[in-house]
Amino acid sequence: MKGLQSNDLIARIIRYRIAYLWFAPFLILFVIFWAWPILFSFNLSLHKWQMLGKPTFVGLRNFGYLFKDEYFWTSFYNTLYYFLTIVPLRTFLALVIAFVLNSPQVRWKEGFRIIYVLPYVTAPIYVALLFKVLMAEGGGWINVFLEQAFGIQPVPWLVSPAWSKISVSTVVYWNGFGFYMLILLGGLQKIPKDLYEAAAIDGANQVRCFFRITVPLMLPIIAFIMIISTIEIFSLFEAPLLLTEGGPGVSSITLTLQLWRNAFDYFKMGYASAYAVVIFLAVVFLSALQLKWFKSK
Amino acid sequence: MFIVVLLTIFSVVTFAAGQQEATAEALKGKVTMSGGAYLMRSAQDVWDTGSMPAKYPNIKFKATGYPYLEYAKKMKIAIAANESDPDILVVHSRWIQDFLALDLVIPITDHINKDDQVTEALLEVTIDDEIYGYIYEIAPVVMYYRNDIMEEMGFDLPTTLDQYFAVGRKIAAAGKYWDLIDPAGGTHVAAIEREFLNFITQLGGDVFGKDGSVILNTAKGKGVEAAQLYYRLFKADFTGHINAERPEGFTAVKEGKVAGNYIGYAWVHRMRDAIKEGDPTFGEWRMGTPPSLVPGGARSGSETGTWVFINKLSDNKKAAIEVAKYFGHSLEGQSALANKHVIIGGYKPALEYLQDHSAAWPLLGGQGVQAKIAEILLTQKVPIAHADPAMGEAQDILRDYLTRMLNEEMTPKEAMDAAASKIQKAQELK
Amino acid sequence: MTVRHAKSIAVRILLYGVLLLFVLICIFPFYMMVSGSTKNNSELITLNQKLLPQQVNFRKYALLSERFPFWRISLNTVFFAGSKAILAVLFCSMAGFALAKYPFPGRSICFALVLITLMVPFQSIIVPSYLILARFRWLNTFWGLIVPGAVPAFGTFMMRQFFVASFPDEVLDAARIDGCTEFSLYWKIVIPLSAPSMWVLGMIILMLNWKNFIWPFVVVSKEEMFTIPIVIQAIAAGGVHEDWGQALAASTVGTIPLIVLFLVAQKYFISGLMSGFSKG
Repeated sequence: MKGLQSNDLIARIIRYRIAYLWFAPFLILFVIFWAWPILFSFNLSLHKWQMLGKPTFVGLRNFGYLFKDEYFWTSFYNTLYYFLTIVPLRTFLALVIAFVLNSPQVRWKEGFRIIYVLPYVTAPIYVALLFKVLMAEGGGWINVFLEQAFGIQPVPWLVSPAWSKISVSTVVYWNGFGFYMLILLGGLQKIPKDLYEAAAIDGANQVRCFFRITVPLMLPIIAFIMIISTIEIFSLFEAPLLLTEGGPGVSSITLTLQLWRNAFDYFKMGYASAYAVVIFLAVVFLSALQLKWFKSK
Repeated sequence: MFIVVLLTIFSVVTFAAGQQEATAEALKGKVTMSGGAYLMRSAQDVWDTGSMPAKYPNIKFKATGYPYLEYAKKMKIAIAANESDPDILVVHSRWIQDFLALDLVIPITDHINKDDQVTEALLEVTIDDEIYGYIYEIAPVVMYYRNDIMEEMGFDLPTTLDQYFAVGRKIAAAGKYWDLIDPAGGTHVAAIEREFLNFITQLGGDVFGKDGSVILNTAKGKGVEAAQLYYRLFKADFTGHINAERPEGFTAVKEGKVAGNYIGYAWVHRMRDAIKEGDPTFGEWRMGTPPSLVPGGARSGSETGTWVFINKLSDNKKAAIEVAKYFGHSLEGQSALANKHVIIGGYKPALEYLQDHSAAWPLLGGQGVQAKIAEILLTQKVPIAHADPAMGEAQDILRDYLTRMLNEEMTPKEAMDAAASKIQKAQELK
Repeated sequence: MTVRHAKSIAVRILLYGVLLLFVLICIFPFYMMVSGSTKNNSELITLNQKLLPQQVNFRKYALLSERFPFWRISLNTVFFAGSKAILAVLFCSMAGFALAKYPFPGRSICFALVLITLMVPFQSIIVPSYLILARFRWLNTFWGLIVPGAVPAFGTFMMRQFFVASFPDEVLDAARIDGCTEFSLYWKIVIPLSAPSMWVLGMIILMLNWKNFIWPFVVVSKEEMFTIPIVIQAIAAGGVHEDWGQALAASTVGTIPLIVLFLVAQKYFISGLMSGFSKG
């Protein structure tokens, strides 16, 4: 029997050999520019290296320092802060707007859709710049508007440790909102209309429809969004870099920014790789966790 | 017999001519220089408009600039890949120890006249009596002030710390600022740790000792003293809590709210950009020598300098040395850099020349800015902060703890102690 | 007018109000970007903000091209994004097709590889990518910018979903019966029939790479090889000549083409984003 099976295997390889050709470009690039770097990262994190000369093996010492490093914990805490303050609310807002845009009472849907996606089409670095000017100390537009319209005192968006994370979050909100709204809208449009009609006959109003029908059916898409958002938040780089440079002090710094600094400013390649390993493991772990949680629903 | 004499004369003449040609010919080929963007643009301009292309027609010189935080990384990669390019490296003190400690540059002791260079800057690149670099730029701190306000209120430029505070109080009473310190810490260019380093060096202390140990929070390092002074300055009524190097700083200047600023001399670059807008309310600004911070102490300090090094792997070292000498150790090169681009180095003959031949700055009422800075460098022994391989990270750490100190989360002593221990850890990890 | 009618009008007003508020929030920064690039720095950051600039001057744009080789940089951006899009469309559809229509030994492992790549953040490989590119001498070159990541996992995944869900096997079988080889099957049948999907993918990849900052930031340090996002960072991150008006000018140049492209091809973009993801 075994002979037959291996013949079968070879037969299948020959029969579908063209597939290997089609898949080859992806595979080659994957190995060279993804798999090799990941292994390189893991290996380098066990060494000490200044980019010149030979790396020195130091075992887990980098990780030992990392877990005692105040800046590491601050950047990790900041990243979690960003996640918790951005993802749930932004997803909810996107869902609400998508729901509104899906409802028959609204006209000019395409127009609104296009406008809401415009911020997403803009590069995060431009968005960071725009908000840097809007929130500038000493006369940025937002403060001027707030004062003239509502009489509110100028907010120290970028210069106060208490506000710096909120400012960075604003950029992430503005930039990503359109994208998530579109995905949710796509999902909403797939919900069969008769479900709503049946609910309307039973006397349910819009809000109940939303929570009893829409949300449960959208759960797979919401799960997908949460996982993508996890990656997005852990990768936050442009916004804190341009808006606050991680400051004031280290109040808005992110893991990626710290990684960057350690690698290319301080030339501590091994230590930076330790950061990279931790980011990798954290994201994979969190994604797996979320997948499991959503699957159980 | 006659033929022999003729032949001898002929060969002697040819030989002599050959020698001359060999000298000018020996200096040929490509010479590349690399460093921060602004410094390199200036160098290329000075070279192209100077006498060197005519003198050495066979040397092809190219200066390539990179953004400030990029160039060190780029140079290291080039050298790690065994590249002979760039031949000349122009490096800030933040990174020089990386290149010196890793033995990547050649000594130029035989090609420099020590007495013609400002001593303090030279010591930074001297190891075991071998000198490794020419000074390209020193950045002393100066006292900018509004001359018209000074005349109107009738005070003199302070020369001691007490006078400085006394004048400051008068200015505060008139509702203006005498200094600007950013409580958010600024960014790596306009950052408070650079101001702090000016202070600590002017007081005679430093972050790192010459042996590489962290002396920031010791008596020798004077870090706590400097931090306390910085805090006192920040809290004074006459200090505005604005970033001087950003648009908001110049908005305040143009609204007439600022009467003085104690800051690195490079502020004049920002002024030049901001005031081209043509604003008559700018006022009559001048550049002056800062006060001494302790009785008899230096009346300026410098948190950074820039030096010119020769890449050990360069394949055109002879020509590279000539070029480097032009920029760091010649009258024409250094004075051109100063007068055209406000880059002032440590070559004494050039500094003396600048006293009488400085460009006049209409912005500063026709004052010769270069002359003033040269005067400070010549008459005050301006100390320069000693760099260490961990200097880059040390600056970021200092900025963080100083920001906390200014925001009242820590006392000066706590801040310095915490910073010192973190800097030590950073050194260990390198 | 019945109560119900009035209520429904009130609801409508509320809905439109909210929608318009969001429109304002979305549009205003763009307006500020363009108008700000025509202002002097002193007008830009001041307590006396005016909605319209005092006088529109394009000095910042002139300064920008004096300071950087801006034409070249814009072309770099177009070339970079465009090449990435073309390569992605080509190779992702190949890989997606293989995964979808050929049950080859090792297929599930290959698909798993694609999924893993999707989940992992790019940051983990910044440092090694840089070092590897340095070793290949690919820093500051188009090779280094374009080749790594030329086959994004997301694109492969999307194409695979498309082939599985919307590409009928019957067409392929019919072609095979007619004597078509497996090789020309792809070029003659698959590509023409999946053109719309490929356009969508191409547009999305084009947009993503036009916006991309961190990869060019890692690879490039020479001014001639910059892309526009890097220029922003070079100007606005401090340095001797930090000039936000210039940075806004550069942003305007960088954003407008993409927005125009988006408006023209928004059907593709939006349908692609909406359907490509909702299959989860």
